[in-house]
Amino acid sequence: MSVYCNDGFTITAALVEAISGKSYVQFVQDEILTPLGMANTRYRSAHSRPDHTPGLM
Amino acid sequence: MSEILRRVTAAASVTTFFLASVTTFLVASCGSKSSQPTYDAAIQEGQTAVQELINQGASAVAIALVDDKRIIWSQGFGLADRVTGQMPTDSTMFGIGSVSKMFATIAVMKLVDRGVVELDTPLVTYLPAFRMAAAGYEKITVRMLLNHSSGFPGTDFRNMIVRSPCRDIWIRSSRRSPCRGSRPRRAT
Repeated sequence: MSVYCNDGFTITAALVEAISGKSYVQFVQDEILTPLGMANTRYRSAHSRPDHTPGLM
Repeated sequence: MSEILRRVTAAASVTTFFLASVTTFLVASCGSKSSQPTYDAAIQEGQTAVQELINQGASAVAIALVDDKRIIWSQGFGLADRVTGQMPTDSTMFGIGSVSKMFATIAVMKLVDRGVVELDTPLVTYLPAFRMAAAGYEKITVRMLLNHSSGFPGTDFRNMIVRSPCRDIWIRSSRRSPCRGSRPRRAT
């Protein structure tokens, strides 16, 4: 049975950190965003460019 | 195409309820290069859908029509900043809400591809610190986290929108130390 649940995904962040040794944000940046050239996507906690409205991911 | 647009519109409408701003990506599955795709109808439908969102109170909407890797059309509507009157552009960043679940899933699957995580292995194998009061938590697998079948209570919108990922959230919770940026609990 499935129940829509955000917590499962929140915990995957801890899983990624434990296995990769990187922060979750850094892992997503290095493994997904940078390779795909997604320059306009980042976590709000990451450094944001002054010409962009800070976003939330 | 119409069906795709309808689904996206429905999703975006739900999102507006929770977020001040909405970003929408439309994917046109006009894959065949031999047949000349016509985008006019899709763009027209997209513009109508956006107008509907704006009418419903969305502050800003950015929309893009993508065919394979090519952006066919993108446009911003509404106001990205009400004070300055700035409109959203194709590089304005929006809170993407639960679309971030795809990033979390891809991150995990990267580790699965490398053979360092197995989807059907219990989470406690990788995170020995993970504990729950309810029995059976040690049977929760990585796959269950990603397909909403872990048995965790359903989301009640507490902590739904956070400004940064929460590390060790269950440990913080047990210490009654709220995750920075999380929303206060609301009665349901």
